[in-house]
Amino acid sequence: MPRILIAEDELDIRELIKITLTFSGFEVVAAEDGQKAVELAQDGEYDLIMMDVQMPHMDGYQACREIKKMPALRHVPVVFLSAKGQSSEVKEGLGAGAIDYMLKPFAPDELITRINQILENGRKPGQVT
Amino acid sequence: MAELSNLTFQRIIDNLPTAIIVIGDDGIVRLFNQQAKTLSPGLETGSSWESAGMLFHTDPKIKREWMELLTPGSVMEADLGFAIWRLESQPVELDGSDFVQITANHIRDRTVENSHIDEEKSELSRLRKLLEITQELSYLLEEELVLEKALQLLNDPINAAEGRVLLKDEITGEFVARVEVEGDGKAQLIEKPTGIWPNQGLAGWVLRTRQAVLIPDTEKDKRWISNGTRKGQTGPLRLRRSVLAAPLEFGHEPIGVVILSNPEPNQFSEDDFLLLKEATALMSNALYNAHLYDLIRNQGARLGGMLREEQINAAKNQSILESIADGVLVVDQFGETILANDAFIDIFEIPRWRVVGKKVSSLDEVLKDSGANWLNVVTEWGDEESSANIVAGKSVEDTFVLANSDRTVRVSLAPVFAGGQFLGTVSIFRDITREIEADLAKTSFISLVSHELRTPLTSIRGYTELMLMGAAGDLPETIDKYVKIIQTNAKRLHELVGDILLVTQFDSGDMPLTLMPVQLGEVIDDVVNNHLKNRISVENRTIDLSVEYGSDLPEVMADRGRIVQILTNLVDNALNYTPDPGEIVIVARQTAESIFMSVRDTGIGIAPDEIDEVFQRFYRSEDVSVRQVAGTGLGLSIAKTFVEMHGGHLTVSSEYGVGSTFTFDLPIGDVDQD
Repeated sequence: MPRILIAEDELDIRELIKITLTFSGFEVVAAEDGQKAVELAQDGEYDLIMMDVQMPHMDGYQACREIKKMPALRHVPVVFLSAKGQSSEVKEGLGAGAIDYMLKPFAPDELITRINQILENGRKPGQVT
Repeated sequence: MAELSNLTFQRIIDNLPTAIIVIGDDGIVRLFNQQAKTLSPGLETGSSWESAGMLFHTDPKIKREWMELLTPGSVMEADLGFAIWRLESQPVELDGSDFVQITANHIRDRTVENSHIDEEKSELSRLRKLLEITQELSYLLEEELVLEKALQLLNDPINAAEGRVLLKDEITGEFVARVEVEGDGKAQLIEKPTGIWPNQGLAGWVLRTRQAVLIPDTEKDKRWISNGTRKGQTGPLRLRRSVLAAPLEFGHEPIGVVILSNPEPNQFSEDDFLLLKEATALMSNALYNAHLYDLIRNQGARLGGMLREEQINAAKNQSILESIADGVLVVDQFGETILANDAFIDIFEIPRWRVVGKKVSSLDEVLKDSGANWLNVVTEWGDEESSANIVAGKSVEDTFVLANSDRTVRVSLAPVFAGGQFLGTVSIFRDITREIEADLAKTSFISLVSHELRTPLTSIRGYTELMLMGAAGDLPETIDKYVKIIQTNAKRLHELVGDILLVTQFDSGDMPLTLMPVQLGEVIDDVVNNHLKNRISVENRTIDLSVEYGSDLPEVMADRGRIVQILTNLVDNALNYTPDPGEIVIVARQTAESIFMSVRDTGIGIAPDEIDEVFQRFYRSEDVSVRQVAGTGLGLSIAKTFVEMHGGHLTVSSEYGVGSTFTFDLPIGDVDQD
């Protein structure tokens, strides 16, 4: 069962993602900000990390850069799931090392499809939904 | 008076017997003739009048007198060693009294004066009379006054009862009496045709032969036409027995005759004859001078006018540049700054003296590293060798942040040419700090609003989908129906937010295209198979779908994501307004330079009076059948904008109640380019 770490500050959305992924058969660990996500990422093994961009303490860009700095975590694909969709924001996210940048609101089936694609291929060029 | 070339003019005044110097109100010598140069060999145009005056005299008193000559109307006599000259200053009548003209006339030769001192009394008095005439005439610069004064002066010493100056009419040739002296001895200006022509009478003879004549008794001279035999003569008969006549010349051309007469015979002496001869020679000279003075005055007025106009233009141009709200920096062809307006000084916050009159390259102290691109170019263009390569119309644009004030400045630099000659450069600076701040504020506002709208939408849409996926267990039929309604409307809201964001980005210009070779057939298949067919099946529609494009359709340079959006909006539009059972046809075909794509439907069509409005943002028809369909009125306007960003056009043709066809073209572009 693939393990996914999610970071999302909004409780409702954190729950939504958690339920959606769990319902589709993933094991989910949730963090409420970037800082926590970086800590949790170091403690456990994850197949994918999915993060919001705008979060307190440490935003998603920064958290992604921190994770990509760590040799043990560098290979773990990071995906942004954000309501921020301007081209400069997408660019910055991919520049931080993310493999994909998805936009909120999301359709659950599309989200699952994209995650499965990433897990199967390992790599797929970044694309915005 | 016809305009003279400057050279002709100079030649004319060089030949004048009178020395002429024209001095501007600034005391600078503007013009002088050969005579003046002989008097004062140091005269130079552009030099100061004072230094020219010094050459005449070093005595401070005389020098002071000289300077007084600059006051119009002042007169002085100057003993210049070999002769005595009369110097007189006249204002040249331009707009005001900008110029003073100094004329110097030779009054008497000291040698002549000495040698004649012991001569006969009559000879002396004749010479004195001539001298008086010379002096009087040298004041006069109008032809008529010359004639009038001369005749007056002549009439006194010569015992004439009547005197007239006859001038040949320039057009008809007839002699016209212009000045007349009669019994009262007062000369008067008149204009009386005489009825005599140059081939007639004594006047004609004098004019033709250019010889003065003394006739003791006209009754014994055949050249004389008596009053009684003259045609057209009116008025009382005049008796003229003694006659003196001499020609008046202008240059070398005879122009008239001076005639003095007396009713008694043998009234004129040889002295009178000599006096008349010499006096008419003086009159001729004075006439010539007066005429030339006219020339000078007109030429002076013309030059002065031109000079003034140039000054006004220059002042105008300067004040225009000064008052422009943008910073203006003018650099000459030697790299030196010749103008920096107030706005430039404000933007750069540096004192004017550090800019104007300095090499433009010295600005690097102020700019530090900012604006290096601009400074390099403007410095290079100020270098004589490299400026030879500058092409008119070339310009350089740059944007930089000023090191000393953090202002963002946009500069555009262009060379200035006049008649093919490179004169320097003009740089226009605009402080765009506030524009950039406003842009940033707008961008972050859009980002904020879009984020704040999408976040609650994410929950609404996400939980709705979760329920429909069965994550909360099976839903009772009614709840399932209601949740589906929420889902549909959440989707609509989502699309609307996306569309509004797009439109805002169009307006802020923040919408770059990522061009790459795109296979349009593949895009059509993508949109049809992954979107249109899904909708038809989900919405359970009865639509006959057909796609036509050749397998040899070439690639176009385009932004694939945007083309997908264009086509999606068009097929959605077709599907939305086509009732079941209907037909949608998607066609792509190729011309030499473009690919045309069209989406045709058998829908409700567009009313003729609305066809121009369908591409307007937020436009929605009042038609009931349109209002039944959910929509924002943004889809077609977005599609049109994307098409135009690709350099194409989106058009529509429609028949109300029958169907519509939307067609757009995409230029093929240079696909080989990366």
